[in-house]
Amino acid sequence: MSKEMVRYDDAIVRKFVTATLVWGAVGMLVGLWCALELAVPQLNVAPYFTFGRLRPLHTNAVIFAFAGNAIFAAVYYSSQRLLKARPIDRLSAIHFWGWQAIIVAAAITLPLGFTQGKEYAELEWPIDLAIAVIWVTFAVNFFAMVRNRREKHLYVALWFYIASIVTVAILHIFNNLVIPAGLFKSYSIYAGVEDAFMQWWYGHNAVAFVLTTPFLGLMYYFLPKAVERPVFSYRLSILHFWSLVFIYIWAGPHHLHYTALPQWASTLGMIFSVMLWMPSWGGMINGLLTLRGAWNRVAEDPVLKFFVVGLTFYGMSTFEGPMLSIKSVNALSHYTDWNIAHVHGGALGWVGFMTFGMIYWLVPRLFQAPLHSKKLATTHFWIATIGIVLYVLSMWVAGITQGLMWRAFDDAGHLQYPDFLETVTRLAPMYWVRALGGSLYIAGLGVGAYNIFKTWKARPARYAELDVAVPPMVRTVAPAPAPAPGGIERAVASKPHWHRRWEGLPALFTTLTVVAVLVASAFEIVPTFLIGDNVPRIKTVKPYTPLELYGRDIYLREGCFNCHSQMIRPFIDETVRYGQNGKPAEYSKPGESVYDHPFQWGSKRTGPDLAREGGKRDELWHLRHLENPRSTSMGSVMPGYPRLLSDDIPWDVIQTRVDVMAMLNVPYDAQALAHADALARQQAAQVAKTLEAGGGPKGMADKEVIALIAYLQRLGRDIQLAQDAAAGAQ
Amino acid sequence: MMRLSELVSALTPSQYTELSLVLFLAVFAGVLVRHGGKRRAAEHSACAQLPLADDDGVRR
Repeated sequence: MSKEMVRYDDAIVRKFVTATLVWGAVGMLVGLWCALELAVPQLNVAPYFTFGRLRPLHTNAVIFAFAGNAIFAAVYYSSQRLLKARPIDRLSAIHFWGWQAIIVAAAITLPLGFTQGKEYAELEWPIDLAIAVIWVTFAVNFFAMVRNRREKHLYVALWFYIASIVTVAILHIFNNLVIPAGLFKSYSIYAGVEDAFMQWWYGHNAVAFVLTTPFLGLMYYFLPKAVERPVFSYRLSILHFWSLVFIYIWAGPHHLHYTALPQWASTLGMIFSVMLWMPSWGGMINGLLTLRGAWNRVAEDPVLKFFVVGLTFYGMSTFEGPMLSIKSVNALSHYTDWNIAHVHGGALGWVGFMTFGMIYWLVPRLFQAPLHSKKLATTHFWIATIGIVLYVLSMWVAGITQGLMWRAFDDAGHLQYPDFLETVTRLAPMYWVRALGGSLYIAGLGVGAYNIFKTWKARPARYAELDVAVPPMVRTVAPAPAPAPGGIERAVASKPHWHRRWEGLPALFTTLTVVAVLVASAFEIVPTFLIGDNVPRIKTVKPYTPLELYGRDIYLREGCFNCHSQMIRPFIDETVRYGQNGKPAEYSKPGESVYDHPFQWGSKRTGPDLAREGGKRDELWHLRHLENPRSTSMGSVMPGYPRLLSDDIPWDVIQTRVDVMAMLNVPYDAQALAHADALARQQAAQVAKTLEAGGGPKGMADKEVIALIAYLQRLGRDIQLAQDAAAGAQ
Repeated sequence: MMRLSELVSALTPSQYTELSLVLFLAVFAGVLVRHGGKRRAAEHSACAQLPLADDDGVRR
């Protein structure tokens, strides 16, 4: 039989590995800065480097830049070899440089305050479009390899890659549907409950299909390579794949327990989250048992050390995740630092260590020189491991402390810690331990980067290219070819059973994967959107005024949602804590946020919930608090925003924003649709007058702080009107 | 003509939950039945070897 030659493209893998290390360092350093800002709030450098603007930069950088580039390195290296096909060079270049350009755009726009206001989906619409284009380029390049492959069977790692590629595309498109209100301003087409549902369908599955399935693909390829043994059970990997892909997509609503999301959706999310434990541990066990008979090598091989501990963290995170999704546990853990511990166990332990294991295995092969120092790699491993332990333990302690303090009542039936600040200042020591843990992890990365740099320095003058003799394309081959001596050809099953037929037809295989994802999504999304009872309307809930709408945009711009929730759960400690004048607050209702594009329920309470903030304090308190939080709240870790007192409201943008809201079916009246800016000026003048009457500074009527105060004073007022009306009727 | 929301509302949310669990069980059982036995052992074993022999070639 005639043979062809394929030359693998390792240059693209070298590029992605380098980008992984560079962006990993950037993303983690930004994370460390954010951690220090919580311990020393003076480190918030307004306006660009406050916690609210930097935290999204940290999450985007580590998820899409560090993990993203690691995934691409893994995919390009392993897929070429598993498929015996080379990607299209031009598409590889567009993919690499396009992705780096997107990361740079994110690094510029997020500190500038351009955000969609949804976690992990903050990037504004032009960047979202660029992501879609580059992702499609990647997909085309990958599927071109699949189409041109010389190996009939699609190895299990490739299934995980395929599932990731198609699902990320679906998630990205549907969660980022917005209507632009300017070049870097847009509003989500969804509002309130629906937006919350879409966001956490996306958010949770970003964890699944960016931070889990591609790394499982990586594990199924690189672990057998490193240990020089096949995966423990290929059968288990098939079960692992289909169970994981089918179950994962349902789990998103567990991020919204006890919120205004309908209970059935929340319960469904919990059930599937608990079920998720089984395939996750199936994968972990499959990975760890691949080392059977080779455990002695773990002691001396840093690659295996990283893989073993990475898999162990995968096991721990995938036990902790289902546990946190159980409603009664979630009631304590949600909005606390426990979630931060959980996320970082997965991110630093699983994603980080699998990435470092892969890189240490790849580097000698890519740079065609022996690793500079095995001892330094081992040092990296131990420093980073100690760093993770410190990080996770401190955040567990902080989270549980926080949750218990929020709930505590004294013997007389009063909140034991009624001042929210008490529950913040108590955590300061843990924030320092967290910063130490993060520093150690980054120090480990520094050692690793030095080691890899020295390996790169020892590279040959010219890289030798790997030429591989391959059989003709499988599409043209009839029966199995005979193995060539020393070649790479292997027998191809002459009578593939049904599963292998699917794999031989990647279009059908991909379609089935998409169906698994879409069926699950449809079962949750369609009833959420179409059963009217899910969101009972409240008559007193009205659209924000034009000024409040702009104030809300400032709230989004400054990333307030990173620290403040707007969701009173139906717990006695929350209704009491967030009540007014000695009366408990109403818990949050679905109908309250029907005009919230996007929703702002939040996921963390570094500061108190703001859903019932309106009317609690006067305008002057808010102004002083925004200017310097510690002037009104001793011990607060919130950044100061003095520029809000000097920056003018850009009146000319308000009409456009109201118009876009109207396009989203927010019922603005004719006056707002024609004279939004005039209405905004009118309300601003009133707020400024009240401020002055209370002893505040003069001349504030056109300053941004007025709009933000107007918004904050509106929060929770509409539901109060409904309560008053009900009380009047009685 | 019946509206889509009315059609969807014909089932209660709990029934969607139950149906979804049945669906998953069917998928799980299907994969288990096809791959659980020893019939495919040789084939699975061959597939598992794929990553271990994929770098043979000549460096130029």
